[in-house]
Amino acid sequence: MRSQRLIASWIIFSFVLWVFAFRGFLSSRFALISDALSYYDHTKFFIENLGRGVYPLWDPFWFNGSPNDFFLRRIGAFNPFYLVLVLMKCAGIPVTLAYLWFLAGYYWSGMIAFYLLAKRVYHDQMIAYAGYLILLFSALGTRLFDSYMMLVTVPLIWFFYFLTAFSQEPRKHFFLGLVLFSMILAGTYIPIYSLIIISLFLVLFALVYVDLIPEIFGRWAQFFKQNKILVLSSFVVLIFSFLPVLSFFHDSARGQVVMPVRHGDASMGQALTVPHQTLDWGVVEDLMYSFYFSDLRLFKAAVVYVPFWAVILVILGFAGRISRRAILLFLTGIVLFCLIVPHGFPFYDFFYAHVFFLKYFRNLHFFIWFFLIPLFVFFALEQWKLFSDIKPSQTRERNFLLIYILAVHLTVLLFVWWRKDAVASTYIMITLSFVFFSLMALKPIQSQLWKYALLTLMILVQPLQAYYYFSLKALHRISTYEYDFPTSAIQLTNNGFNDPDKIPTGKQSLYYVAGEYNKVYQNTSNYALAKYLQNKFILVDRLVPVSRDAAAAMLERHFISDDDSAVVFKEKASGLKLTGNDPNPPPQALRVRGENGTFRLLSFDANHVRVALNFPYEKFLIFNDTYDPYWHLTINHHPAPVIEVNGAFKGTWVPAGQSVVEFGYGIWWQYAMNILLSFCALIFLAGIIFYASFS
Amino acid sequence: MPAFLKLILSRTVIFYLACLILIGFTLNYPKLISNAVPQTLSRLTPPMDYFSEFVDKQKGYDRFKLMNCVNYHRAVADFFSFQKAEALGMLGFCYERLGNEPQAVSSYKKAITLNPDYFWPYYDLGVIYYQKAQYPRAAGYFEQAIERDPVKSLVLLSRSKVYNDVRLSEAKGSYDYLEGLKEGRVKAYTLLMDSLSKTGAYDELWKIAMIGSKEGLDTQGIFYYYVGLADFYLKSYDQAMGSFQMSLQVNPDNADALMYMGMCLHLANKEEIAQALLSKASLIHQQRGSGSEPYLNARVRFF
Repeated sequence: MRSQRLIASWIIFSFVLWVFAFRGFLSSRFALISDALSYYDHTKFFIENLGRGVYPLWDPFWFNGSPNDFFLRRIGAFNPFYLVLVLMKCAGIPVTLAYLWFLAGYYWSGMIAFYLLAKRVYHDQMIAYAGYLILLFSALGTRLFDSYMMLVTVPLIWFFYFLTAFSQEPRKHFFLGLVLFSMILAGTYIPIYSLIIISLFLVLFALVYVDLIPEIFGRWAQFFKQNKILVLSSFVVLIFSFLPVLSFFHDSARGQVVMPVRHGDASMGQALTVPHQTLDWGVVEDLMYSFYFSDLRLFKAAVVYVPFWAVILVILGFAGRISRRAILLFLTGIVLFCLIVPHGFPFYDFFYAHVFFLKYFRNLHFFIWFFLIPLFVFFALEQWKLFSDIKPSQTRERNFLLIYILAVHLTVLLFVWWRKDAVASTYIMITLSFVFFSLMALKPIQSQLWKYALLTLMILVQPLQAYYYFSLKALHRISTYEYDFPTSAIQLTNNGFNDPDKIPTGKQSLYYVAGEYNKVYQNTSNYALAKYLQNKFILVDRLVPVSRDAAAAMLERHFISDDDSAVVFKEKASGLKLTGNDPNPPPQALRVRGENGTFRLLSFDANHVRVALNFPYEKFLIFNDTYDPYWHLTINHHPAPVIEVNGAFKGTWVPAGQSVVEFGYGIWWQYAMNILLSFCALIFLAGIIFYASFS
Repeated sequence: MPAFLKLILSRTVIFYLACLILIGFTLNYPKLISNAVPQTLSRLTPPMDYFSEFVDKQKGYDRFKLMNCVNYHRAVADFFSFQKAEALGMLGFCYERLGNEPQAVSSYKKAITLNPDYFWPYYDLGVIYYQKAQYPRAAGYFEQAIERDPVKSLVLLSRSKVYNDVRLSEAKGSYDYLEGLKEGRVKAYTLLMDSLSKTGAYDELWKIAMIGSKEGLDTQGIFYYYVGLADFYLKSYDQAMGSFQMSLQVNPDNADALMYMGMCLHLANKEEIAQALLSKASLIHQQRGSGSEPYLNARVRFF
């Protein structure tokens, strides 16, 4: 118990140091950069909507509206830990701070999972603690502020922890943990990464530990027999957790959404596919790039870094006797490496040609961050374990061991000196490491406290200096983020056109956008589009049917002229009412610049908009939000068709007199599926806590 | 199996090595490198404005910018043998500015070994030793610098990707290699002459100063000053006076020339005018403080 308390204190203390090292980021003094910005925006949007009781399947603020499914999948919306964010927000903590603290806490939870996993595998508290420290202070932590790696890395570590624990002791909370984190992995970012990693590990495990398989299966089978309903229902939920991904895949196949940046000019039809040339930045490139940052004064985001002490562990372990665990860990890393290098090894091209899902992801270097860094740390721990298993029985053998320790440290020292770019803490770390291992071999220290103090100092001295330099290069936050606006309201007037000089002339390739909007964006000038999109709602009296091909050419003119009409696709115009009943229609479209006696915005949320209109004649209401087949509407509570107008937007005929028009997005099963899966994940989490507290 | 062999073979390192060797057989290394190198270099390439800062600023460089350039040029030197010399030259510059003189000297020397036609490493080594008051060594490098064929140096710079980055970093247009080389050459002559004067090699100084002035490099009267100086110490006072006069016609504020001219007049017993010149020289020296003549200010350069 005392030892548990001691280790808990060190774990908390080291996390406090980590928080101190990143205090600039965690206080929001330094800005999030790169992909982390977009993840912040979409998480904020999601959390704020959840807080209002809305499950946001549509994002009205992303390029004039687009399905939000993609962003929900990216952030892993089923993850029940997001509720912490909702609670923090309800407690009055500003969203930005709440988000940053959530990131830190979630990351730390992954590190604790790593500690627990290492403890289960090595049965050695000190080795597990060392692994926790190395991983906590590796470059993984830096990626909280420029990327989203930990959204996959953390659940993956928890998954392996629960897999190991359940295989060793089949208990309910381990099983539920396994299911929960499988669900989270299935619903976060691109699940293919996790599937590849887990499948590869299981195959290699089965090969290396072939004799243990019947035993493990026997334990599992017994558990399954005893908990049939729990197991069956969990498996059903787990299978269902892949549905949102499949649904998104299906929608993207129909062109509802496109990803031009990712997709490039690939001739493949599916919008999610990536051309082979986008694979050029991979694991080798990431490592080669990071190699040139061996001078830690240059350390910055996206540079692979693991506290250098891990390298000493690996070298020390070379003298250890080979174990099956070492073989498994080494093979997992090396086989994965060979499989995911598209240039130089023959395997990737073969699989790219024959395995369909490899065409759907491109960032192969993410494997480093999702898995290879934690695996390397685990491998280093195994090397330490193998080294510590060398038990000299005689003085002569002990002297040999000391000489080996000295030789390893001298070699490392000479190497570092030869590179001529090491920071001072590297030399301190090597010296402390030599002292540590010599003392471990001679066993003069009995106090656990001193051992842990020395271990902590030795591992952290280098990364703390590295993170000091990392912070020096951080960008100070001087402006708000893109989604730092109230997402509960919609602006009827967009002020973006007030200064036309600021409208960019060039076109960019958009990352993710509704398919029809992308066509309009690419085929009209920014000026014309900005002029047209000044108002969310426009009222006209005429519809002009035009073929899809001709629409692209005439929308530009139509947007600039702003006449009293809307363009509809001829292919969809059959049976459509084309003119209103106003005997003297105005020459120009009627733009809604604010609420008045004829137009009122009754309610708004991410998925719904309700407006009241009162005109003496019937009018066609254009809602300048992207059209999507999942939109539906009612007029005075009666269903009416949503008409796609002006290339990418939606509208409807509104009768004369007082009317209430309500636009809504999504079908019941989409909400049911998402809410049910989120609810199940929460139940699983509650189950883990419940059963774990009883065990 | 003997116990010793069994002990060795059961070590982890043997298994790891065996796996790596096996992987080595499946690896197409040139293909791996042919993709990885350009990708890595492209990401390591510093923003263009870094180079323009190094060209234009005299001092006060941003350390991180210099360190980033070190990274990039280390990578270029590692992977591209055909522009290794230029990359090492840039490395030398960055190291020197970072205060890492031994690394700078080592990089420059390697650059010279790789391409003896490359002007700047000789020049920069000369500057480094000149600033350390090691004048004989400095003179040696400056001498070698001015012996470089300017055409070959120009061709080298024009073909180099490293130098192309530098050239394009100028926001308004591009830097002119030829102009840079001309400046460097004049500076190398000047510092060589000063180094020779400080080592007392007046015969050599006279020759060099004469060559330089015949080449038409003397736009500031510096070469005439050094011809005069050599003549003065070689006791040819009349010739010295003539040279100092020519120097002062171009640059009347050359305090050293004024001083030596005064000395010559003093030796010629023209005390009054000698005193006037010596006083003027003294005044300029006082105004300038402890600094040397402006044309002797030198820093390492790559352009």
